[in-house]
Amino acid sequence: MESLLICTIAAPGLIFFALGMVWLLGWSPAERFISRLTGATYLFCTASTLVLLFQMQDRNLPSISAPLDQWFGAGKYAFASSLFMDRLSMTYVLITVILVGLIGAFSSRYLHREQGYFRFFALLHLFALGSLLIFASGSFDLLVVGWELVGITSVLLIAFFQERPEPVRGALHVFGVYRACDIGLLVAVVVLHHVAGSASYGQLLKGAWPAQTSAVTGGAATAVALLLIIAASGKSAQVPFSGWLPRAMEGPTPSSAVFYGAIAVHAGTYLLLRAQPILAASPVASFAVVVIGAITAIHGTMAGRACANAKTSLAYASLSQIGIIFVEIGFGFTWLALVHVVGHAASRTLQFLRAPSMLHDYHQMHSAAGGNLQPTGAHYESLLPAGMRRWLYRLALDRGHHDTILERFLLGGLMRVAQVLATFERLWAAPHPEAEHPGRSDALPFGWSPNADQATGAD
Amino acid sequence: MPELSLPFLTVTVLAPALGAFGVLRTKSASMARAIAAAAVGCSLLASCAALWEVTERGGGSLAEPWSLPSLGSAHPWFAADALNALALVVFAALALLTVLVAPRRDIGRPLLAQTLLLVSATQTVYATEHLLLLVVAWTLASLPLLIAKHPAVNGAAQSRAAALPRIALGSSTAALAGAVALIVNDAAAAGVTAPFSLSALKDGSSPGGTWAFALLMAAVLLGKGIFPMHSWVVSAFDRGPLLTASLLVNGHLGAFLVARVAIPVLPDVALRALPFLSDVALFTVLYTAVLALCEREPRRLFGLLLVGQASSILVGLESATEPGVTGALVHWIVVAASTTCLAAVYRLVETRVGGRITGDRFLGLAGSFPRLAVFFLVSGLALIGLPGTLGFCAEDLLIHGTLESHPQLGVALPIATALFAFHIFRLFAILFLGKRPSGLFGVPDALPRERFCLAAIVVFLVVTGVAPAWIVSQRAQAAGALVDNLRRANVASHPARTPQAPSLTP
Repeated sequence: MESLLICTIAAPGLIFFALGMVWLLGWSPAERFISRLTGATYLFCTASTLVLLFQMQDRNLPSISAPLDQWFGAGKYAFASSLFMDRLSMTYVLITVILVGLIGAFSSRYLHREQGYFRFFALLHLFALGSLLIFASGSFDLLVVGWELVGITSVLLIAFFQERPEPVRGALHVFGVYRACDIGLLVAVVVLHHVAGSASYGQLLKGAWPAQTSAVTGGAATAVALLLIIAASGKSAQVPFSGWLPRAMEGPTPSSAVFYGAIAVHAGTYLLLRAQPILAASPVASFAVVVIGAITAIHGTMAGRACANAKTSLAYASLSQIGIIFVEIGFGFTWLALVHVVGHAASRTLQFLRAPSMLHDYHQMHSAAGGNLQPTGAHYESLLPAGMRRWLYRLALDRGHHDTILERFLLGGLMRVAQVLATFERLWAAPHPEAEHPGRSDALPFGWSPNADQATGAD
Repeated sequence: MPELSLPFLTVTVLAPALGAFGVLRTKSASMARAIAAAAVGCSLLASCAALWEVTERGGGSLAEPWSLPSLGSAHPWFAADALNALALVVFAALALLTVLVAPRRDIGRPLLAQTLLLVSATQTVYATEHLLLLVVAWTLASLPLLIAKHPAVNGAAQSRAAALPRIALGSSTAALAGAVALIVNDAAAAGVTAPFSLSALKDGSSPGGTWAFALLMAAVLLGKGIFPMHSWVVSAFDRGPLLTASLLVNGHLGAFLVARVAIPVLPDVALRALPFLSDVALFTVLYTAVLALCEREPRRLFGLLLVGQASSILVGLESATEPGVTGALVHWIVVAASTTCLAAVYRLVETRVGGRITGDRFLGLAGSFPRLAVFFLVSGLALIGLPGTLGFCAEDLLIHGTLESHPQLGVALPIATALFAFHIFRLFAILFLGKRPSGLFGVPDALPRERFCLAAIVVFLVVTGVAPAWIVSQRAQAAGALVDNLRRANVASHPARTPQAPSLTP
């Protein structure tokens, strides 16, 4: 069973590495070869995960673990690297391998003759590896590995249509938010090592999921939980980090489906479900999760209604559901949250994949209804006073002013400091004469400037 | 001291110097490249043999099997141990790849000879046990940038910027010479039989010397470009020969000086001064990360990245914890390999585009040079700790060690790493993303020679990242010796503490 678990997790990584190396050395595989290889890989992964599931059921095992050799370490510190699968992991792993396989099959036609066909599939394998490492890691240490791989593949797929400036700027924005929020996870892992001597689930969480208790309690539990909430909120686009989600819709539709409809955006919920005993040990952290989730659910509902395009509207719908899942986790309804995740991931993926043909679907329904398709009915916002509706509409249209607030108060402050330092630098270390760009030093970096079109000069 | 079976270190040091002589004598550019590659290749093979022998014999110090009479057989001129053996191999390998991958316009015979001299001098600094030779080699290593020709400058600020590398490297050499003079003087006064020998100074009691330590640290801060001396590195990258400047900075001689001389020879002073120096290095990391937000010039941005990453090596080294020091020593290798790859790709792109690149728009070069783009991205992400590369292991150890020694200030390191990650991706976006330029059709992507060299670096970073156990344990051995030095000094100054006491606060 251990070998099967390792093979399941490693298979997409091996395919990615092999494809990457042969391409770097000069060989470009054909589309048919890539799609067949992808199909075979996820067929194997799905079959092996089902075998593991049946074996767990058959032997009545609460979990399977595959200890790997110590990856690296120094002095008393050792990086805990083992694979682990319990009911929670199994659910997420199964969703991942099935949906990635389906997305692979869908994309082989959807992206046929697309210039970045090979790149898409290579990144899809890397993403699958990252996701599987998140869900099947036996420690928070190894979870970080998968977490960062998912982040970088997400960013590279947002910039998939690299010739247009918007996807590139969107990718930079998302990368900035991801990295900022990942600090929470990194520091949480270090704190766990200092407090508990390890970040391994075996030592931190006693019992079988969902009836686990935390070995970390008190102030340490609150600190760790709050840091994990930052990381989870970043990955799951919760308030106040939700501004990246509409920008992420610049990527190809299949990647939007699997990342922001199904798997990547639910990684935050997995982190919180996995760390739920730690959250439960801290009422402050539990309350924070509930508040963040509730605000996000309301924000997603409002902003989604003011969106002009289908994918972004779906992304906000996704956000609302994940906000509700956060609330469920905060209240400790772990089974409910898990069922909600499965249902939401499956249905949202389908909606994303159908999004490009939404107009076609609408026209079909319109024709089927004899050209007399009625609006869905009254909206509750019509009960509000007109002034408040206008105000709420503006708020929704600017997506809660989140980006404006972050740029003005957080990034703006940082940029002002950077400008002072740059002015000081230029006094005594002037740049190369060909590198002078008068009047540009006050612009925000690429991806952040509201007037980035002027800054880049592209298109 | 046990000896190596053959004079591997002498070959490691002398082969590039002889290669420089050969390059100057030949008239053909392709022959010059072949001679340089053969010379650095010999150096690489010899250093590999030395590393193999050091590893086989348990990581202890092994002397060269010959010695000049002035020091006697007890105190050799060259020695290899866990600290320098791997550094010799890595530097020789990177020098070889640089020679092979450099565009033709960057390997004019004088510049190639200077580069080989730089390699020889850097290898000498790593290998030598003789303080005088250390000073001479340190000076020679700076020579390519000291005598480099810069573009014409206008105005006082421009000339000051052009002169910065010379001033910094010259002052660094003077500070090192002063420190060595004070150490030797103190050692001679204390009755040490071979006061120029590092092994004698390490074996005997430390000759004290706050001033000597201060001068050593001045040499490190100037040579490594720690705040407020960081601008020379940016200026050298902005104006100088990029690959040579990258090779010079990637020697990380400042970090080596701390590990080889400052901590072992002056552990008492080091114990008191390291927390302060660590704070300065940490500040430099954060300072360069923030400053880079306003920087749009790829070369200057690249210089700031290298200063920040090189400073984080010092942060780990001075954390005085085993994970921190090991992380620093691993990060040293990562920074050297990654930034060499980044510099090579950047230079290849610059020569293909036909001139200096300004960062005022997205250049969209991935369409024309997809493989160069991938080499750039992978090595850049390895630099900031992409999982699956050696950079992740280095970053993980470094952050653990730093937060252990600086629970509050240490948070600056992950924050700076996040900012650097953003800068790397921004640099990648500037160069490779965006609309494909129309004038580059027919310009080749990575040539086979370039492809195989750059692939070697990427494979190294990935393979050692997936299976880092050997390289980390090798570095942990060297780190253990350094931390032990500090623990012993701590116990000597506070006898009540046990040698295992983790706190190094005086």
